[in-house]
Amino acid sequence: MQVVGKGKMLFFKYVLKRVLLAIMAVFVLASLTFFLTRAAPGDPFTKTKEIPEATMANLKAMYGLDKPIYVQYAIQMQKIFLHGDFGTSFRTVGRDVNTIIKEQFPVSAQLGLFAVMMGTFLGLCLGVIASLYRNSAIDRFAMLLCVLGLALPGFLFSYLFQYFFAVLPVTDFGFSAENWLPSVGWGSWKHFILPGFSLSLGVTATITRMTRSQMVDVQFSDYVKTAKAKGVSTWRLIIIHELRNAVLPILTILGPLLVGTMMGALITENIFGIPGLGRVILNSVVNSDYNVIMGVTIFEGSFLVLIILVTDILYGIIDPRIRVSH
Amino acid sequence: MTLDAKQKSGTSALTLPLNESMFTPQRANPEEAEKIVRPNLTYFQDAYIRFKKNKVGVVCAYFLLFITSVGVLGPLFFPHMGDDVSYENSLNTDFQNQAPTLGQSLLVAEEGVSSPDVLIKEDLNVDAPLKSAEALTAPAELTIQGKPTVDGITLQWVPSEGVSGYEIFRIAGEHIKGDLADFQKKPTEQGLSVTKVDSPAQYSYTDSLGLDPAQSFAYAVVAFVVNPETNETQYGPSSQVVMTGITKTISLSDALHIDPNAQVGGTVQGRTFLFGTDNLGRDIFARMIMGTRVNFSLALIVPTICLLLGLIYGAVSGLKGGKVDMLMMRIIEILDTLPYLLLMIILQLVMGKGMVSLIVALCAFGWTGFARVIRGEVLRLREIEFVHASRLLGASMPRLIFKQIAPNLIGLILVVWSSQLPGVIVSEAFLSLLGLGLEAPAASWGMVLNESAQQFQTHPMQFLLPAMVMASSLLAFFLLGDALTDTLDPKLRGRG
Amino acid sequence: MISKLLKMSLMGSVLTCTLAQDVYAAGLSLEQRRKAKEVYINLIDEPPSMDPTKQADAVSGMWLGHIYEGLMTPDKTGRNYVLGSAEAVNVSKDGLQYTYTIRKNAKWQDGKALSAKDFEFAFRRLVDPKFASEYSFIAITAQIVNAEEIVKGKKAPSELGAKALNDSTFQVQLKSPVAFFNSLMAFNVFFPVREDIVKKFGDKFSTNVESIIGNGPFKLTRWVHESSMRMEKAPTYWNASAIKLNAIDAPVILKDGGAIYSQQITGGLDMDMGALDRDRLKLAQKDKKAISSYQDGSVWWFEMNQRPQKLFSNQNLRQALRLVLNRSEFVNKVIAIPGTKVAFGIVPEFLPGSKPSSTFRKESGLAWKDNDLASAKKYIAAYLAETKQTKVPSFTLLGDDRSAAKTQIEYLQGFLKKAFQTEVKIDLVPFKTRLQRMQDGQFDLVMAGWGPDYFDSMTFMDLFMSNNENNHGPFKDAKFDAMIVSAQKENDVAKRTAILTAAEKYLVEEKAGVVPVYQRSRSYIYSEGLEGFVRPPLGADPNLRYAYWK
Repeated sequence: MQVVGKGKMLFFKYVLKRVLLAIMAVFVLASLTFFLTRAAPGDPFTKTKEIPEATMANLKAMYGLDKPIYVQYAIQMQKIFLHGDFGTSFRTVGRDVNTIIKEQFPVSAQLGLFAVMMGTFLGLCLGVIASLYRNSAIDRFAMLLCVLGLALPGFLFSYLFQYFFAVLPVTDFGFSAENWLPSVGWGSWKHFILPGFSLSLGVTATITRMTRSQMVDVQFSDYVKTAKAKGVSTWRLIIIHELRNAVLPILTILGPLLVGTMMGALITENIFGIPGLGRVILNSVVNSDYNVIMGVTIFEGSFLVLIILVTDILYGIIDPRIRVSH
Repeated sequence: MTLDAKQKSGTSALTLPLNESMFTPQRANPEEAEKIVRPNLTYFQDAYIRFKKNKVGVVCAYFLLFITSVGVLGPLFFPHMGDDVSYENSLNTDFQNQAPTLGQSLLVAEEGVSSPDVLIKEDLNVDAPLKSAEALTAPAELTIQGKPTVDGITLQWVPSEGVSGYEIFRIAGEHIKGDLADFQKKPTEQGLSVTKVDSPAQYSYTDSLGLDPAQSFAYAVVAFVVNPETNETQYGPSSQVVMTGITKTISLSDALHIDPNAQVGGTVQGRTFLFGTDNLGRDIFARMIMGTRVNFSLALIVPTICLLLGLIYGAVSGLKGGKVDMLMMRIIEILDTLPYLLLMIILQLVMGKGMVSLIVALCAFGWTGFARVIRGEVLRLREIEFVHASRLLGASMPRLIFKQIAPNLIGLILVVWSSQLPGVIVSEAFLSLLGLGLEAPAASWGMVLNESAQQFQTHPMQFLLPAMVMASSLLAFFLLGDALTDTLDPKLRGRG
Repeated sequence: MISKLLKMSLMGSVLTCTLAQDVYAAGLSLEQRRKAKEVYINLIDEPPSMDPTKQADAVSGMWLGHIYEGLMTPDKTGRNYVLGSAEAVNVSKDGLQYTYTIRKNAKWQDGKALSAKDFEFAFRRLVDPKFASEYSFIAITAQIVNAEEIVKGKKAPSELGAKALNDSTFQVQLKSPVAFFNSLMAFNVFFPVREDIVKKFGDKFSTNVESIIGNGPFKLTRWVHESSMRMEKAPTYWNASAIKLNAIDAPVILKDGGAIYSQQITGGLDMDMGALDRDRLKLAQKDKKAISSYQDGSVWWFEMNQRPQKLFSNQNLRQALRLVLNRSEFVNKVIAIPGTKVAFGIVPEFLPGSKPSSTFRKESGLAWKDNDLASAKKYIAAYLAETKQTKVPSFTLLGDDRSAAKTQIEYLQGFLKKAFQTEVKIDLVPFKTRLQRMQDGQFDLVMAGWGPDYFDSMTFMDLFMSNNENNHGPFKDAKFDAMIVSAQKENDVAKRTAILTAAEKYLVEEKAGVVPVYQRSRSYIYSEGLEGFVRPPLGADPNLRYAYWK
């Protein structure tokens, strides 16, 4: 009884610590972005056409830019943490950052999810097959794919995929890939394929590598040997006994992988004209739209923090050693 | 000593099948047991032996060595351009968008050829009443004047009265559908309108609009009338089409750099452009070589700075222990959860483009990994006696870190360090593709990719060749990192 | 576990696909669009503000020009202005009073009749410092009585010299005659705005479909932010029979030139708001698309920092720069867009001169030998002798970091390095940062452009008056200021044009206060069979009001 109680207490303490840390992280992030964006050159109201001084003063007052920086900071932090309000965009009049995030985040999330799911599925299949037929041609192929996927950035694949599956005209190589798939745009399932696959390669590589090494470890464990000796069928052995145990650590990295993929999609989104957060970030960077940059950075940061928090807690549940050691 | 003598006699007696010594029992010899028989290997000698067995690693190392030496030595072979502009940045509008070439024969042309004067037929009645569109006749006797070069192709035709002017259409030879007659029938639909000549009396025009030396061009001149009321333009027929290739030229001052005896009108063998040239006529291969310098030095500098930061931070944290350690670790945990890609962008925005800001942006979030690993090792190492001893003897913190701790971490440090190299190259490209990174026209791999990505569809080779160089280097770095992990730190083998 | 995961990921991908389809339902094919009389265009950006009075930019202006209609409106050629919401205009003899009669059949898109009060409200809103329109200065340019005082907060907006005499009569009083006043009335900040709608929506006015009710030929029917927009023919429009298109749709917002181009080629888009860059132009020739070009009215020049102690405060050096530039090489080989012309003056070709048949450019005749190395060398030598130096100090060239502009700046850097025999650094920054640097005087040399706000050369000429905020040099010259002021007061068109051409010559040739480089032209492609649209240098671009499918 007492032991269980102590365990629960420890776990509770562990979770509490993680949550506190996560909140701290978001706060640090918010402060960091606030001061960095204010230090950036360019003012959101810099325009080619002259704006009368009185108008300028009014505009600045409207967005609270006329107050000293620490007051602005206090107001901003209050808004963000007490009301979850990221303010309004300087560029698109009357649109608040929350709406921008609400509308654009799902697009990025869909693309990221698609890439991670596709990558996980392919990675698991490849990893299992590679571990079953170690040192065969297919294993070598899987390892090659891993190296490519891990070593090369997603945007390189994006450019290449776009060219070789959607653009390549007849004249260059004797055959044409023009319009095999839409080269840009967003809206139908076809639009997922090129950006999705170019992003999923990294995920596939990570998962394949992990699955393979986990599976190899598991295959030599005693319980698998026992099961084999008892005459369990091969597929049952693989699925019930081996994969089940091999897959646990993989589950825990899916969250961070998703966030990583979404953030790495910035250039890919621009290459394929996808209306996700990546494009919002680029636009606001060009337009010195502080509030949007801040909002999106804090939002994506919090999302990352949340995912890491969940992952940590998951770890804690799966592996009791972790909560004790912390 | 007697034993020695016996042994000697024993060896000399080897010819005999049996001897006495064979039957004396061996006794344990403490001196012998302590003797080191195999040569004493240092850590690195051992690592080197193991590394040599890793074929992939060796190949990658040689490949990277090759690229590095090209980067270091290559610029020494750059041709001299005769002004302050360095070769990789020297632009030349005579050589825009050239395909990869080993050198072509070029006609030496005069310096700054001014386009010939426009010919105006003075006695033409400019104010003659406009003809109706149906009555328009085609300008006759369309000819090419002089030598067509990238600096201009001069057309001449016979002017006629009663028109508002002439419009000149052009089509590149390789784009001609079917045959020339087709273009002649419908120049307004198929051709690119190069210019509108607003006067009926003008009867020559020099076209120099974005002429590509690799192409040939067909021209059609069409007379038009503008309805003064509706402002609508109506075209007459075009009766003649003239086609021409472009003589590849080089200006005299450039030619003199290649061949000191070059003369206007003669020919010289042009330069080699292994990767072709970009849209400003710069040698992409040269830019990539200079880029190698930039990227490889970044790949060395950034992880090294991160390493130093991480070493100090991790060692202090590990050695101090207790509350300091906890606080320092919490800070790292917080930093690790931040979206570093976005913060990197913001950092570069604030500091502007350039080498320093790039290094700061890349280092700002890269050192935490080192700090973590090093702290873990320090926690392990500080319980080991020699560190205790050193502490007791009053060694200062820097001495502890650099004399006692660091040398023991060298393998681990090298592994983590080498795993960071490719990431730096990718991040540089990432920032450059977003329009950040270095200030133009500095050449780095990311800058070259960013420039050529803009014309990926029209000139794919300009992108593909540099991309291949970058991809193969990244692969080599990655595989080399793997090999180093295997050889330097066997404990880490097979992980991750 | 694996089977579960498998199921999850499979279901997930199906789910994400169906979700995505809601974002933008796949559009009509080119054939279907022809039948349905719809045009698909590309927005290069999300409109920054759909409030007509708030500001003016190309993207918002394009939509506003179709959704609203001012007192005057561009005709089918896009270059002349005809009566829009007004059926008659009466200009007093001294040119100081404009009286517009509102059309009886002019209606708002919710059926309410258009009233002169709506114009009164819009005009007052424009100058109201509380509303803080970024374009309030245009009311001052238009010389509307009391506009300046109201903008500066010295008088109340109700004192503005623009009043509704009754529901159908709107009268504007001017301080001094403005030749182009009628053309100004076609500009979006002078469009009517309804007080009741503004009151109803408050801050959210013009941020979604419900809060945008216009009086023009098209009605906004869809606005998915950062993604797509659509407007449909408004049956309430007084001249609805002249409108042949049923809808103008922006199914996707694309920025990347390559992406836009492939959509146009595959029939996903009929027209792009922006233009082809050099490489897309090549592609279009390869694909044998009919390419059209138009001058967008903007002129690009070098502004030089003429503050004391700065390098280009020296006139000899400025003259050297003016003469040395190889404009034709720059225009033909680096920009390489048909129709782009070298510029020797600051006023573009399309602006009128003293007669309708002539243009300002023709009357000015300002030109000199391009790439005149010999004369430039003399000026550089004079500069060196004057300052007792042996070498021109290094300087920095400031420019935009957009890809096309970047290529141009890199070319110019190489060119200037050779020409001045000195180190030339470049500073490529985002558009906004560039403007900030120019305003703060943190530059030596900058390539900057200016687009016209109204149909008169004054929109370019008054830029270089010493008190103009957009005179970033600043070029300060009492004689030039006096010339512009006298031109502003001059009522005789011929005399006024003569003063202005002389002023331009003085500014550019004599003082080299600014070094003109080129007049921009833009090339574009469009779907075959689309006709009747206009790409004008002023106002909604493209103007699809009278467009139709052949």
